[in-house]
Amino acid sequence: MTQDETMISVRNIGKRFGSVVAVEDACFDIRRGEFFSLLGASGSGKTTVLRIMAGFEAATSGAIFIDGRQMDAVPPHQRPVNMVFQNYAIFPHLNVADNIGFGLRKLKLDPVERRRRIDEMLELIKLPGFGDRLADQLSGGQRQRVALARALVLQPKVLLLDEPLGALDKQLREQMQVELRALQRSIGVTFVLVTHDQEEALTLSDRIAVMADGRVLQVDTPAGLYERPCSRQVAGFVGNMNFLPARVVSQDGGSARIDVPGLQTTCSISAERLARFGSDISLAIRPERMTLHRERPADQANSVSGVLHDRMYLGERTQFQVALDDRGTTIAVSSSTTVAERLGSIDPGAQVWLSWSEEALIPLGND
Amino acid sequence: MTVTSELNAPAGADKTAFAGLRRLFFQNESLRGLVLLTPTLVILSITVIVPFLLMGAMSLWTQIGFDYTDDWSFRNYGIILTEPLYTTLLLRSLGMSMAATLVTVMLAYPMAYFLAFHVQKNKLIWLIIITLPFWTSYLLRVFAWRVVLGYEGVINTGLMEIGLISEPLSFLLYSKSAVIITLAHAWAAFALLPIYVSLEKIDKSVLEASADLGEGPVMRFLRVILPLSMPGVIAGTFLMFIPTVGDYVTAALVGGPDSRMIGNLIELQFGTVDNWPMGAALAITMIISITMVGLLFMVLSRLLKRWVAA
Amino acid sequence: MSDQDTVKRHHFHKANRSLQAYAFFFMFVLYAPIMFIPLFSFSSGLYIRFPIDGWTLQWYGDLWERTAVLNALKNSVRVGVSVAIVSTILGIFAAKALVRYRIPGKGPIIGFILLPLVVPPIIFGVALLLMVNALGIPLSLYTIAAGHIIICLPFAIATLLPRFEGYDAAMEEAAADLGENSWWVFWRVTVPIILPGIVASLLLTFTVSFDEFVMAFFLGGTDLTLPLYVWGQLRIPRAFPVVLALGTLILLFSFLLVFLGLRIGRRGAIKLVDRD
Repeated sequence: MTQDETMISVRNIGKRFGSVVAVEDACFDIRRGEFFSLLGASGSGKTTVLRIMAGFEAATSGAIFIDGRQMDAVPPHQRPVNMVFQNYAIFPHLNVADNIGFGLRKLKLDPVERRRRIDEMLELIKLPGFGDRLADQLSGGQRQRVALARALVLQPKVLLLDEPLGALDKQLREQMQVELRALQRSIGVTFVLVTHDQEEALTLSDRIAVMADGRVLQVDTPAGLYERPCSRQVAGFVGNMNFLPARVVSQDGGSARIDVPGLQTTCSISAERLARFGSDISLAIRPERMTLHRERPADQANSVSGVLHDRMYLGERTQFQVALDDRGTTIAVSSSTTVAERLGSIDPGAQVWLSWSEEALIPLGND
Repeated sequence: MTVTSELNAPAGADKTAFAGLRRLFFQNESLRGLVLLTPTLVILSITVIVPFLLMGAMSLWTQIGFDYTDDWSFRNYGIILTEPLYTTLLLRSLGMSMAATLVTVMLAYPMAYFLAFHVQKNKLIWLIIITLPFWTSYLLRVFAWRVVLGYEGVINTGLMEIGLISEPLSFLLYSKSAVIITLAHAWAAFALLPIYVSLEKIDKSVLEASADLGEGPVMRFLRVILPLSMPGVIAGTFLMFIPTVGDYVTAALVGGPDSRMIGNLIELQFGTVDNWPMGAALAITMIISITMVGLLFMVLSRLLKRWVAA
Repeated sequence: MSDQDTVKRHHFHKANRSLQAYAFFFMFVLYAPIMFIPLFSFSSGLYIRFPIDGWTLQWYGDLWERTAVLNALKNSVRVGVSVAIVSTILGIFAAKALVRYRIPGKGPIIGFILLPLVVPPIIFGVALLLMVNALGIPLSLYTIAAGHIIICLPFAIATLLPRFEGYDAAMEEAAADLGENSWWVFWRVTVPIILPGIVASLLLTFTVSFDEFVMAFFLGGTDLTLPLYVWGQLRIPRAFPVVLALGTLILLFSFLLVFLGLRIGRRGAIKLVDRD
């Protein structure tokens, strides 16, 4: 990645609160014009990283560069970033127009120009004519839009969003996701979003950094995270995943073979990846990457038989729980409901077969 | 766009170069808090800590004529502990404060209970009305009792007017009971508010739970409400007892010769008697005895709590 | 405790007549003695006694002719206004620091600041008198004001603390994020949001100083404040009617300010006790 493409560079950031380690050695780059998300459970350190970018917390170690400039000693009010706060922090003593125009004071605009810019933002957030409303006269979604407008009117290089949709109910949240994505596309500003909602992160982002216990586990595209998680933790956090015990059986040169007793199969792994995991590994496979059959499929290497335990109707999809013969391990298989219907009714207790393609098998370290 | 994972290796380059700057910035956060507190702490140090140290030092001096000797001795404390006049006044002050505190706490408890459990609407107005007098002129509130209790005061002339007594009751004013009544009245909010707060904090579902477990109202009060409100009662007792021991306005206005308090004696040392070292020693003796009584009370209430719990 | 008898009989959710009656009795006892001051201030008799012979406004008229009263009033207002401003400003800083920053020893610091609420004022008065005297500073309205600041600071901080606790720190961060430095954040966001607390603190600390007697007694010089003037007049029985008239006005004025202050400041003063 060249310097020009990088908007934010997070270099080995660490943060301690007393003896508590909030962030440890975080290191990643965010590209210009990218929609980037920090995904993690509460306490994972994602908000702390965002607040370090905004300048509200000082990192204990490491450095942050925004647009090539080191930010450590730059106070929040001089940084080229603006933030949408978790509860929006709409100033209760100002109306919508003055909230949006808050940051314009320093530009010393004449009243007409100031008014024009505010109206422009009101148009952008689809709240024209709301300028005179007070904060407590706004709904949650409207407050969120005002917070967006207030930050964007200053044309920041980066917009930071701290769980901006967390306070909204499900339907409104989904609608706002679409709007947020469209907005980011149209204005092209770099967005950095903090969220604990993996679906939100997958839907909105160009790339995602997954965090847990103060560490960045993986930085990748949504598809990359989903298809090629780098650890068991990431795989479990993003989407549903089956984990099966596995062990290394042979190793030669650039690759090794591992045996998966549960699936009665083996698969290969590059020696480099294996070196990172150590010998304690397991095998991960997504439920939707397996196909359920009533009859034994032709490709015997990549199939196994089992006993159907349970069948759950989830609307669009149907999920099967299958007990694998010898070990008693249960595995989840998911197919689209239309495909599942084609199988006809299978009673629990009936023998079934599962098949997969070898690329669907993901060997992962067990730590 | 890269799709492989990007767990970057540590860069580690500028770890030391900006460490100093970074540390300063980091410290600024809590430093800023201390900077904001500094004016207050400095002013309080100058007006409270330094004078207290000075008072401690002066209490060890001795007044001779118009001057002090500054050879250090515990002579003043010796006099206080041996002269019956001083010990009597000290013990009397503690006793009268205790009496006033006891009266107030007992009278304030039902009122606090009423506020906490029976006032639903306009609670703030009730609280304001109860606390209102305590913000306003202490001097006038004490003086009001002189109007009420005086030889030719409200009670005496009122009772004479309706023919219940033929001549004024002389014991009303300038007596110990007058001082105790006035103190109890003047400081009532100090006892009431903590009790109210502790009662208000009690989760109403706890009461319902105890009712559900079969306790009647009496036992419910004794086994749930009273124990849970004890911290408030203890706080209220302290808040009222401590300042009243040092009171001198009340005794001066409505007390008689038998109800002078330690505060009056201190005032005299700085006034007509003009023995400042003795005044300082008396003030310090007062603080020490308040602390001792306070500690004793705390130990007793702990013991009582354990005894009740057992 | 004997009064439990009245309490313990009752349910926790039922309205209760006898407790209600007790509450009104309590309020009556609280206010009745104070009310005799205004009552007798309109009595034409020289002495405070029943029956009241007749009604007059003469004593209020007399007040205006006494320059000493007007001087004392002027002094009290001067001291009160300066004390209110100084302690409220200090209170704003201290309350902000205590709420917003991780400060080591926060508990003991709060305890130390609130100490003057409990310790008898005579102790502070005497101690301060000793220091002022040792430094050779003459007793004046300034020394009174210094004493009053000790007493008023806890009230100012207790009134302002809940205000700072009551709003999201993100408000200030948002303002900084939008490009304002600390100074402008303070004026454009902090002050407008805590304004009710500031007004309440000014009103309450002014009244506390305006009505304060003990500190003024020890630290006052030749310039009298109103309570000192009243104290002097209390030794002269013939002056009682005028004292009653003056007292009525002081009480009325103080009640009004405190009522406003408590209304605006909400529960600040009550929450304070919670802390101890």
